[in-house]
Order: sequence, then structure tokens, then C-alpha cells
Amino acid sequence: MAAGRFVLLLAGAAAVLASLRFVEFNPALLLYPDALASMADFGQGFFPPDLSLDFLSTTLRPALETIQLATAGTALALAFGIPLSLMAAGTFHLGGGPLFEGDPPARGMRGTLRPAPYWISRLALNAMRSIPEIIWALLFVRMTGLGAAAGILGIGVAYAGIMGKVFAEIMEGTDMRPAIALRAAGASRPQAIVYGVIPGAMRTLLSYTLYRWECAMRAAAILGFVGAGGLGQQIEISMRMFEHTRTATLIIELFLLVALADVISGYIRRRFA
Amino acid sequence: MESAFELTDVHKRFRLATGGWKDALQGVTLSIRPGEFIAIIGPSGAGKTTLLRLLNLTLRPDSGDVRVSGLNPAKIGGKALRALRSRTGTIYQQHNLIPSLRVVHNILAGRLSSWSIMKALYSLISPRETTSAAEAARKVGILDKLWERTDRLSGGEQQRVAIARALIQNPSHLLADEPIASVDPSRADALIQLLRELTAEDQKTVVVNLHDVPVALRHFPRIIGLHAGEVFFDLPPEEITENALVGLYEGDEEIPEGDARDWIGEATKESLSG
Repeated sequence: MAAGRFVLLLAGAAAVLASLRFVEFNPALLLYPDALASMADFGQGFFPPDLSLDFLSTTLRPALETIQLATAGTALALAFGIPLSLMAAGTFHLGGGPLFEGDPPARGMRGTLRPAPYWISRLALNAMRSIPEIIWALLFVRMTGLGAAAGILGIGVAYAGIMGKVFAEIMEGTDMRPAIALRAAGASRPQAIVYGVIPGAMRTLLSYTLYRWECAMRAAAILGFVGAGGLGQQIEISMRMFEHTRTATLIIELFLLVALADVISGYIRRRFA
Repeated sequence: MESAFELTDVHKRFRLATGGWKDALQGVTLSIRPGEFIAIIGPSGAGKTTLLRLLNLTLRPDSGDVRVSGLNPAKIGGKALRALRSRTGTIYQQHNLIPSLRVVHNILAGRLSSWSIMKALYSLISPRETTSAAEAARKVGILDKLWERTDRLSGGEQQRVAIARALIQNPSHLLADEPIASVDPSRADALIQLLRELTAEDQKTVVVNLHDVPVALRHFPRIIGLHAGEVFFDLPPEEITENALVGLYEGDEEIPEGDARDWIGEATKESLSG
């Protein structure tokens, strides 16, 4: 057993080294005098950050847009992700699952179709998740034109894929005994899930949603680069204009936004979970 | 009169995590009349919990017949099966409550079989039928805890929530899996007494799994001994001999110390004199 683990560890380390070599990652590059000098030049350009009231007041709206983009995107992801996760939790659907114990086996068409929601939702979640939000956003730009809508849809679809999968796994990992007890008392399968599984998983589900909302804040900034508005778009413009002092201010604002999201989600976690 | 539970040559086996099979029940035949007060005793692994799960219809036998109130659950499904299940209430050893919900919701969960999914969802926001929940809580003496979160309650209080959840089903039959394993030994008799009082009025059938032989001998007019998945004896307490008990617990590693005969002998003497 121990020997097996050791071999696995060695194999993992070898794979990491091989990957680094393959992509020609050379940390020494960072220490070359030329690289250091140009980095220092670039860095100096950021100081001091532009904190003039004139400029700051123009960043207020983009900052709000970033929050809106992240929040609307996360809400959309929940709207798609929750139903998909309920379909994708194997313990709820697969034959012989804990919620079916004691039920007569479904025969014929019903028996064949019983696991269908599971496979369909897993396929959909994989497809949604494997395409990053920025590519989804670029696809949606064709439909909605440049602007926040494409960004919201991009975050919504990609995050629904991630949240649906993780939610399903959280629920699969939840103690099923209360739900089985409710089935024994005559509750239906949906009732047993709503009463017996979801309340037990709620704390983790809420925590993960808040974490995703923080991630969405960063994703929203990136989406700005492809025209979805918000701080990201301002950063892109200021960099293109070589207004580095403004870029610095915008990056600080983005940092503060993510920190704010962290504080708010911490509060919600303490209050409700 | 129709039997409450009728088991005919019931077999049940489980696949073990290590591969291979465990025969939990091998050919159990039993008839339990409505209103009976029965204890099932036997060493751990004898099949007591499996038997209870067959009775509350969360397991199906591999072969043989299980009938509840005259109905064969293998022949019905959907709504009819749910209705049949709702006539049996079960109290679990680990209570199997939902810790993060308030007591009122855990009690009302016993009503789900007669609620629609919409009513169930709505009740989670604004509890329905709170009067009957309060009545059930009052019967088991936890009325003052009705609005607390269930995981804030002590183990004994949580067990009372579990009993209230079973009572609000207004079941014809009540099953309990090792109910005294989770209470203070000095409270064991009081708990069995409580179960008796709660079910006496409308003559519910009661089947209780017990590991405590003296308690079984003191309170139950009919005692079924299970050994290695078979009915070893099925007798009133006065007909259970010391030899029968020794045979029942033969090879059980859970007997704390000394010879099995000593342990059971002491226990029996104590209960017969007490």
C-alpha cells in the first residue's frame, strides 16, 4: 500500500516536471538583467496611481457594472444549475439508489428511462463547463451585440455547468438516512429530497455559491476585455492608451471589489449558514 | 382478523464490501397481530435491523413474502405503496432527523405522505398544521422545543422528536430500532413505558429491537429471539429459559466479560426478581 502511494507520488512529480519542460517554462528568465530592467520600467509607470477625483468619479459606474455582471451571472447560473444538479445527483435517480430502496423495480420503458435525467444532465453540464465563460461570451456577442448581456450569459452558462456538477456532488455526499426515513413514512421521492437531503446540504451549497460569486467578480473583469463593460473594459482601454497610472487605480479597485465580495459573503455565511 | 405483519420464509442477503455475501435473514416466518407489543432480541448481526426494514418497507426480501395489514407491497407501487408505508411509523437508533431544520419541520415530516410537493415546500417557509405538530410534541414532552433547531437539542430530546414524527403519522404500527441504546440506562424503563402509553389507547402494534435482555423480559409479553438470521425462539417471557438465552447469544463477541451463561444468568435473575 505504502509502496503503491510512493510510486504514484513519483509519477505525479515526473508528470509535473515533464509538463514544465514541455511548455518551456524557465523561471531563471525572470532574473535576467534585461527582464528585470524592463519589468522595473513597466512597474514604475504605474506610480503613483491616478487618484484624481475626476478620474475616480468616472470609474464608479464601471465598478458597479462589474458587480452587476457578477451578480446577474451567478443568479442565472443558479437558475440553470439547481435543476440540472437535481437531475445529475446519481443517488436520486440511478437504479438501486437509496431513495428507491423497498420500491418494486421499475420495469419496461420506465425502468429504461429512469436514469435518463442523470445522463442527459451530466452531458449538458460537461458541455457547459468545458467551454470557458469568455468563449461563451464571445459566442453570445453575436446574438446580443457588445455589452453586459453577453457577459451575463457567458458567466451564467459556464458557471451553471460548474455549479450544477459541484451541487450534485455535494448532495450525493450528504447523509441519506433522513431521506430514507421519510420514504419509509410514505414521502415521495421529491419530498424526501426537499426535506431530507437539501437542508442537510444547504450550508455547503450556500458557501459554494458565495465562493462562485467572488469568482464571477474576477471573471466579469476579464469579460470586460471583450467588450462586456465594467472595470475590465476600462483596464483594457487604459492599457491600450498607456495610461498606466489609471490602470493601477483600476486594478486596485478590482482588488477592493473582490475583497468586498469576500467580506459580504463571509457575513452571509455567518448569518445564514 | 388480518395480521399486522406476516412474513413467510423470508430471505435477505447483502453484498459485503470485501466481496462475498452476508445472509442477514434466512427463512424467517412470523405472524404479528394488530396491537401486539413485541421485543426482538439477539446478538448484533442477527438480522434485527434488516427485519425492521423489511417491516417498514424500505427493503424488499430476496425471496419469501412480506405482508403489511394484509397487503403485499411487491404487488403495489406508487401512491398505494406510499399510503401503506405511512401506516407504519419507525423510530431509528440514530433518530435520522434533519439536524439543520427546526423541530416543528422534523415532526411535520411525518405528514408528508398526505401532502403535495407544493404544500411540503410551502411548509418549509411557513409551517402548516402547526397545531397537530404541537400536539405531538406535547405528548412526548418537548412542546417548549418546537421552534428550536433540532441539532441544538440533547440526544434524549432528539429521540423524542423522532417519536413525535412517527406519532404524527397516526400509524397503525410502530417500529423502534434499539431505542434505549441512545438513552441513559436509568431512563430505559421509562422510555419503554412511554412507548407503551403512547400506543395503548388506539392499540398500535409495537415491535422493538432490543439488545438489553432484562428490559425485554420486564416489559414485553412476547419476545422473539433472532440468531444468525433465523427465529431462535418466539415465546412469552416466563417461558424463556436461561439455556434458551445462552443459546441465543452463543458466539456473540459483544458480551462484555466472563462466560455468556454468567452474564445472562445475572441479567435474568435481576429482571425476574425486580
